[in-house]
Amino acid sequence: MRTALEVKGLTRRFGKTTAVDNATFEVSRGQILGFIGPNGAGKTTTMRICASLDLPDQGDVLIDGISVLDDPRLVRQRLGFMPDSYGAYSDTTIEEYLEFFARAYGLRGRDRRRMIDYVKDFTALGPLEGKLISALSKGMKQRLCLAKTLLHDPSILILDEPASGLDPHARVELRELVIALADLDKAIMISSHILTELSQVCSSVAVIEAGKIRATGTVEDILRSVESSYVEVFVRTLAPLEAVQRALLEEVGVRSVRRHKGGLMVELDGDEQALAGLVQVLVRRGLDPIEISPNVVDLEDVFLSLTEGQVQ
Amino acid sequence: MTDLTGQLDEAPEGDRLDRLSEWVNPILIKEVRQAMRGRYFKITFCITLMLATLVGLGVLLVLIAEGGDEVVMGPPFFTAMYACLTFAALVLVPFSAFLSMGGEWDENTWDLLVLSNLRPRQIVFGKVLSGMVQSLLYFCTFGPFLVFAFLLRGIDLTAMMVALAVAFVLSFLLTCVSVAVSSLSRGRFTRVVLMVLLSAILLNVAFGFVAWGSQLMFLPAQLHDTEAQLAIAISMSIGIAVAAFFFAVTSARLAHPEENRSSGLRITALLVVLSILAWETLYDWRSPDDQRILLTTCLSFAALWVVSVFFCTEPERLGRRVAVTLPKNPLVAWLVTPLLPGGARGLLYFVFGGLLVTAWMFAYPGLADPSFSYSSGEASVPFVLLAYGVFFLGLPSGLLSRGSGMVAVRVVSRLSIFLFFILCILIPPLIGFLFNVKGLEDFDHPGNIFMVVAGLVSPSPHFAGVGEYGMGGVTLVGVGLLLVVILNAARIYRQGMEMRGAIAARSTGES
Ligand SMILES: Nc1ncnc2c1ncn2[C@@H]1O[C@H](COP(=O)(O)OP(=O)(O)O)[C@@H](O)[C@H]1O
Ligand SMILES: [Mg+2]
Repeated sequence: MRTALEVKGLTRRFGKTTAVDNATFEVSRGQILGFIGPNGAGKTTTMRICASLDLPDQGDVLIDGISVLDDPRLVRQRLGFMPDSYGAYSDTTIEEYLEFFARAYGLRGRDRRRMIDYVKDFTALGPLEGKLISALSKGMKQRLCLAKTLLHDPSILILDEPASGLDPHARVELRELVIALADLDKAIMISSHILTELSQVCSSVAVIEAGKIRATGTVEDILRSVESSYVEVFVRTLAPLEAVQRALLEEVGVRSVRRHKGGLMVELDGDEQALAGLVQVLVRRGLDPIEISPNVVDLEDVFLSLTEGQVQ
Repeated sequence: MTDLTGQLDEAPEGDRLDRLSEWVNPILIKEVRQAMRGRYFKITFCITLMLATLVGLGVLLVLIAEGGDEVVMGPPFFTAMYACLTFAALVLVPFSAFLSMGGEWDENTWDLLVLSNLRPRQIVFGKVLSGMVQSLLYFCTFGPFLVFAFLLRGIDLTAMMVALAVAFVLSFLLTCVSVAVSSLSRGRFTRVVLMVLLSAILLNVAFGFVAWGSQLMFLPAQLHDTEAQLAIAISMSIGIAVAAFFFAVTSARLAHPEENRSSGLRITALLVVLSILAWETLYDWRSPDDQRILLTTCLSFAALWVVSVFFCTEPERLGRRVAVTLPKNPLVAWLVTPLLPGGARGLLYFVFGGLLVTAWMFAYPGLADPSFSYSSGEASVPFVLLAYGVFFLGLPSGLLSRGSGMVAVRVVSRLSIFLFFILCILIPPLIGFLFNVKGLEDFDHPGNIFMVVAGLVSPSPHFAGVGEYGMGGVTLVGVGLLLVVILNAARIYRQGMEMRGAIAARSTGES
């Protein structure tokens, strides 16, 4: 896999706040990187620097090996950036909007026609032909903006919170579009402050908080790194809860036990071996377990543990 | 998608109009479409037309009621129509350009434009052009009214054409100014303040201009005078040059901070000064007039000085993106140094421009009329201006050069140059007044550049002239310049070293 986007030691300060603090990660062709962090974590700042719209105080971003600092014009030809505040001209139709940007990108004649048709087709905007942008729903505007971003056939796409404010249906459609784009061998970086939006589509994740990258890697990598340290199990028994709690706390490998929805939430050191041990203990001591369900750790939990619960 | 790019090299087809439109500035097409569909243009266009019809009818009725056949109805009717047209072309059109530029921030589309690799000057050019298209539309719509005015008799065709042409050029200039003003701030509140200011300026200019146009209609004979013709030609071309300068200001403001935001401005400012010199040369070619030459020299220095206030307070670094655009030839690169961004190079720019003006002042009358000569006082004017200019620029900007990377420091530095200039004029008489120092009570002292120059040009008893300051004045200037050199030595050295590095890197062909 070829590295398409490489962020190296990026730092950006605004006065006293350090919006991005020594961030390093990369995205390859055909890969979708989820860039996740709470509001104000520095996602937009990082992405704007990647898109050559802002400058870092330190560090650099390489797009296909070209520095955004040295040759922003070349970089812009290969890169499509969709800002979180997607711009839309008033008093303009979808057609005119796309045609204007196609002209701005230097597409001429039949090529322009073909490219506009292609992106309209790809984002399913065809049926809306002739409509004024101001009459579009948010999801439609979002798709139009994506269409505009694809006009010059960029090999790298940076999408800043594309799913925010969309209804569930539009979100599913967006997800499908993103997957289709990755299948075209584009490198995609997509940010969000809501994790569930991304966990299904991303091949890798970078978690950012307060400007610092807390974790990077594939979704499985990150899950494993958290899973291996402890397991949480929900336990319900016929025996009184106090007795069970006391008994469990005496056991080795039990980190903590707390009440939870008519049962107990037990935190164990270790992996599934420890879980097996717990089942044995409950049966051996005659505590009559009626439900033992290990809590599946998902990205959301990882995120919460990495960002100290500031997720919104 | 990727399979499509393979076919990009195919020749574009379509009819001729389509093919022509490929080369038109895309912003222009967008702007015109947007304007034609938008409310602003539709409403203002209809109101202007209605107003023109009503005013025209009113004027006609009054004229007929007043005198019937004896009154020459052409000029008053034309003036009324001209006033409406001028209002549209000088107020409405520039204002719409202001709004359209602001719309790019409000609608969050600016970043999209930058990403599409349109250069700031293309964007600004598209905006200005679209203003001109709208202006032209107004001119065409008013055509029938103007023809009607002409048919009413009493209108000189030349005068009418001149009045219309000047109005169009002025519309262009004001559109450039409006776009420049709009680029000053992206904050909503500041933009409202700017909007009020701009409307005041536009309205004032429009009213003044209507007055000029109407007196031209009533007294068209003044156009037969060559001086008047030349004066109009000169002001029009200077207007265009100034418009170009505002254009450059806007492009520079909109450019990326790491890009070269200075060279374009420096070159345009120099062109404006050169065009002033060129016109003065043309105007006075047969008989050079020393007073007018000196006035032109002083004006040129003043223009150079004002723009240099901004140049000499620029951040020091060339910036990564400028370094790679230097000329490959080391000699050429060193020669264009005054035109490159950077504070110390800003000082150099003033010196360079000043020497150019000085060279003109001595070369041109000598070529035109070998018997021409300046008095010794007159001959020293450009050098005095140069020395004072460097002093006023170099002292505050040199002192604050360390922090020139920060916006706030740059603003302070710029303000302090103007303040320093004013204080140098005000402080000595103030001291003289407060402490009753004899000889210091008036404004006639070496700190006041105006008096110094006036004394040099006409050493009458009324002005003290250079004689009174004598060696004392020269010493003062010498000490001042020494201070400037000391304060600026460090940054001149640093910028010189950076240039050397960048030029070496360029000429060895790396990057
Ligand atoms: N132009 C700016 N001026 C000052 N501070 C800024 C600017 N842009 C962003 N910030 C600050 O940088 C931090 C990161 O912002 P941002 O990158 O927009 O976060 P995110 O996109 O993750 O919500 C925030 O604390 C924000 O206040
Ligand atoms: Mg953001």
